[in-house]
Amino acid sequence: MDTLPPVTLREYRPGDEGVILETFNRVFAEIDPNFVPRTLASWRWQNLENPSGVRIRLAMAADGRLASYLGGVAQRARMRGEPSAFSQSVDGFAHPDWRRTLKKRGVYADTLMSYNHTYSGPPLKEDLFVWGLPVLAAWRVGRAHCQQRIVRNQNKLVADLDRVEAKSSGAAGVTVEEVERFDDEVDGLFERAHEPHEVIAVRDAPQLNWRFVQHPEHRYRIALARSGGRLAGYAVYRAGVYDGDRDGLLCDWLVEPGQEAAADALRAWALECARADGLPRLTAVFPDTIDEWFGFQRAGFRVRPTSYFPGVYIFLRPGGMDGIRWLHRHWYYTLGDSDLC
Amino acid sequence: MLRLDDYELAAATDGDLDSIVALYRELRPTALVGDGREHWKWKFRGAHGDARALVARAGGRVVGQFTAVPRKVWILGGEHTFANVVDAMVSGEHRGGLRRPALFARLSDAFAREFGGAPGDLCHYAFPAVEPQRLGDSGLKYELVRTLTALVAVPEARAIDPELRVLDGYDEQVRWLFDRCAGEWGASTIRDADYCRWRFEAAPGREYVPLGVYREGILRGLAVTARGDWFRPGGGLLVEWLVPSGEPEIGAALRDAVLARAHEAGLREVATCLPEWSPWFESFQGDGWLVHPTSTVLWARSFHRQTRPETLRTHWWLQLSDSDLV
Repeated sequence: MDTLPPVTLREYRPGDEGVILETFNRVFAEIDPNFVPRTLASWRWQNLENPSGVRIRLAMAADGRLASYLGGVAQRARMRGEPSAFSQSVDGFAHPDWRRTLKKRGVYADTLMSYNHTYSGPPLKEDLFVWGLPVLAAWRVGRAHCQQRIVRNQNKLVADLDRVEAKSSGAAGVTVEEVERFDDEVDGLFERAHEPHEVIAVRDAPQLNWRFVQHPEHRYRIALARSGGRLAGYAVYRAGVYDGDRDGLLCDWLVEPGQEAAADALRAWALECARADGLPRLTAVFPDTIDEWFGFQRAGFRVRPTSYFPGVYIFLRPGGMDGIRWLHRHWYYTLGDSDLC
Repeated sequence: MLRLDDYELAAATDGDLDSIVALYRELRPTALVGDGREHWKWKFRGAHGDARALVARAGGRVVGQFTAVPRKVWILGGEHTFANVVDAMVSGEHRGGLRRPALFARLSDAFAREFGGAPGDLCHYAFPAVEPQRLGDSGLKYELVRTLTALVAVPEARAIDPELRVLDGYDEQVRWLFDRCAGEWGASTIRDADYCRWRFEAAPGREYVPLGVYREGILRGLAVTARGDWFRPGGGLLVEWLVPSGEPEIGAALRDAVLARAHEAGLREVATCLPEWSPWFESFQGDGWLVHPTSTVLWARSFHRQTRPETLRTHWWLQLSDSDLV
């Protein structure tokens, strides 16, 4: 059919949840036989309770059907030390009645570009860029119609537990404490630790507690490392499946520069978590341009490929920022920046 | 300002050579050695197939070229060609800038029409510098395949395998060795004696050292080393690695030789580039090589569904020697 029912592109309004969830669960159940329907609580947590804000674009038909949807996760950020933001496009789909071939730009591509223009620009809006870890079908749409580009092919760092021994940290005066939630102390750590990274999502207590404590489905373990009584770093762990392998996952990580003993202690804690869970490996994800990339390798982690690549929509090039290559060099992220853990 | 119709686009001929060399002198003065003519001929009329050279002429001279090095590639169970686009350039006064790369884009498209697609090249690939990367972003139909990583080791004294030889030439055993390796790869440049002679012996201004490990007179593994600026200025490079992945002891013997010779030569490090999906990528790490990021990116324009970026990313045995970076 060449003429599809017309749609209106707009932001989320209270009350849209019903049609969003109904369509979301129908579309993904058709694609994935193992799909578990999303609950209202889970949808609300991800989309409405994020302390960084709301990022939703809808394409609604006149008859009330949802033709297309893109829900993103906002991330307050620092760019060169200044407050900024970006967002990750996470859940996107088109209703089967509105799907088109790749060669014809369809309503999903319209929704994606509407999202980009609404939250990022041009002209400049809140988000410095919009990123995602797209599956191939979504990537083809984004590449063909929405100016998305690849930052890097994402490799991972993997410790095989039968091969890697944790470095002892007791003599270095570092203590590791497992906690239930983050408090304001982590805000100070973030201020000290973000400096080497020109682009980094804010890791303060509200954001971290939303992401790792209030998550409606997953339970995470959180460890704080202190050196001389001061918070020097934290790590977040859970057992999970990443890129097809069930591993111990190092979901988030932030260590103050120069605090190698704290890093050793947190790695030892995470390795022990994975061992306690009876898993064969501990897996971490970082950009390969940061010091941690080498710290983990020297601790025995091996670099292995994944099927993922961060795809980015970016139009902004403020002074010295050369688009994708600049992001490649300067963006700090972990697995916990994504929805994959 | 000339209109696009004012340029003549045509296959390069010997009559263009002086003008082409003058274009290099203007834009890339160190890219050709000697008088430039022989180097250009070596580069674009290499071991594998006919030249891939398109020029734009205006006012009686060459003002742009789109050129590639053809490589015979084993893919889809047979021999096909890929072409490595190198030295594509347009003289400054004829450029449209990043927002309007008109002549460059027209050359690129004409090149793709002339050489791309069966029975021609299944893929055109390139390792562009910063500006062409942005040009690629701007609609030249090249897509990013991989951001390349480097495996880097510190040289050290190691025992040398008694059957390690510095090759004084290439013979039919290279192809035997390649055939034993290629079954594990989805796509790879065909390594044979002709290719190696062209790539490593005849390369103007370059010096390569081929190391082979033999068992009972049979070449079981080949490594080619060089010095170059790819990872760090003047560093040691392992540019070619041809060892069946099921023979780790041969690989270990070759690595020992590479690092021991680099140590003797006083080099601070040796770098190489292997596909992350290869068992050798893990094996090198197990021997102490660390994975570093690089600024090198691989772009490709595909003319077949088996050479789409997502397939090349995970199936193409790509070495530094497949590029003009070393």
